[in-house]
Amino acid sequence: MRLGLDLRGEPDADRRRSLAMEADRLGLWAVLVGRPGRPAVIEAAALATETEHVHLGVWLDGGTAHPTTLAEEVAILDHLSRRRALAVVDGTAAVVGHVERLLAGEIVDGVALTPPPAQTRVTVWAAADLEPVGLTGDLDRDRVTIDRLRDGGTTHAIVTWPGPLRVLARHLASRAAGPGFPDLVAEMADTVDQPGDA
Amino acid sequence: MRIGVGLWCLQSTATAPRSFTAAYRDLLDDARLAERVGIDSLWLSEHHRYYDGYCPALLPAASAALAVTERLRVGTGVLLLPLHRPERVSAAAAELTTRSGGRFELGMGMGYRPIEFDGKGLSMTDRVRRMTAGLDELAADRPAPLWVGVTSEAAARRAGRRGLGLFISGAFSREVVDSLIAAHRRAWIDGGRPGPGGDEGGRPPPVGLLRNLWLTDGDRERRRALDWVRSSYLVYAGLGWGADDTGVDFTAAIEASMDEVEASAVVGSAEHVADELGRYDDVDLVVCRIAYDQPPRTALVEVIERIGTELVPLVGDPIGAGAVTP
Repeated sequence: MRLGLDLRGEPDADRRRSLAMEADRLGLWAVLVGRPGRPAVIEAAALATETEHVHLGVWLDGGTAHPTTLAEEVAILDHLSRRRALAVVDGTAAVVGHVERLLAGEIVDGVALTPPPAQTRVTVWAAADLEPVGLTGDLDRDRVTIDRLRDGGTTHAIVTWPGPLRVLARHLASRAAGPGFPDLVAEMADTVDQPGDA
Repeated sequence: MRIGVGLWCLQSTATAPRSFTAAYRDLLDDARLAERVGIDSLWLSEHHRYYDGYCPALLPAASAALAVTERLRVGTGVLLLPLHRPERVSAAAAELTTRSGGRFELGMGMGYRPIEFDGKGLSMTDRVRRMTAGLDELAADRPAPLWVGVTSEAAARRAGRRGLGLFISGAFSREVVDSLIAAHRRAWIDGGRPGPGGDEGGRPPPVGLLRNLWLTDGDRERRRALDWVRSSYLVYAGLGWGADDTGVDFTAAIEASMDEVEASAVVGSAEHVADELGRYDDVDLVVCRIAYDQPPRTALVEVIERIGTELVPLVGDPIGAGAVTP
């Protein structure tokens, strides 16, 4: 299981930017941006120029634009980010499916997406199917949550996280990777960290 | 006079196939270069449903170009407003203004290809109504400097009476340019001289002019540049072929169109180009149309450098020196 960071609840744009850049450095799988009334793709396109590896998830309000418009914006983000776009669409099943099919290369109602995205197909989730996981910062509790999700078959989890991202990456993203994570390694790493390593 | 460069369309055409991802990477490189050599602004252009991937979503592309620069202005020349929901365009423009420290400019046009309206579940017959309603909404919000791309006096009047900048987007003769500017100015006066803040009696809204333009040394370079300009209109003709019901026979019009384009192109030394542009003393912004797929990339990079280092010192406002925006 891979962890992505939900930045939608962070109100400060500079803070979102620095968290996205840190998530990129720490190898987290994705960040997710977007709130009602704010066009997420604008922010994600800027983040694309400041990050190299992290996937850029955009939360899209399916009621505010034609599905083709949403898909076009995601396709451009996919090129700007060099294959790192993913989309979470808040809308009816028909709207989500419309966006997803266009971004998978299908011709929908006679319309082909031009340009197509850079990826073979862009991952599109329905917002209704995406339950962000609220991690607490209490590692004893969060380990249980991560194990439950991973062993329950979740492949990708979008999480909120209140503490330093380094702790999330070290203790929980590593644990999420597969069964049998040696906690001892993460705990020993904490003891040898120098001030300023974070 | 502000000197910008355009129009970045991010295509992969049958003439010059390439990776779209490379096109977007080049856009960011070109924006950095334009800024470094002192060019005022870089302008993007929108179409939908064409095989060559002509950029359908300008605002994310503008966001990335603004994110990699600090002084360069980035504009849409033009965003096809009737194909979008104005409140969403306004919110995105406001976001770009905030993020860039006011370096985003929103040029808006009407669109002319029925297929683009069909693709959004709209009818092109509705485009004037959607355009005017959208312009009213944007003119009320003023999320960024606003321009209206025009090819007719009716469109120039739509811009003028709302106090919006005039972006003359065709390869027009001086006479046509004059008539569009006059129509714009008259409508602004008749409309009560609306200013950017909704106030009355302000300065007239600015005039922007798209020009096919190239800096060259000698006749051979000049001929080569004119051939690029001519052949770039084949790409536009292709767009026209995809646009039935426009009432224009694009196939028959192509030769005349290329002749017209060549006649209005400004090609030569920086001094010659500066003299030509000097005749447009009622124009605040010239967007040099250089970015299309016929010139090799090395030639595009070279002309961006030359425009910045040779032309801007002759006719341009230094960046940040109180340039006129709408």
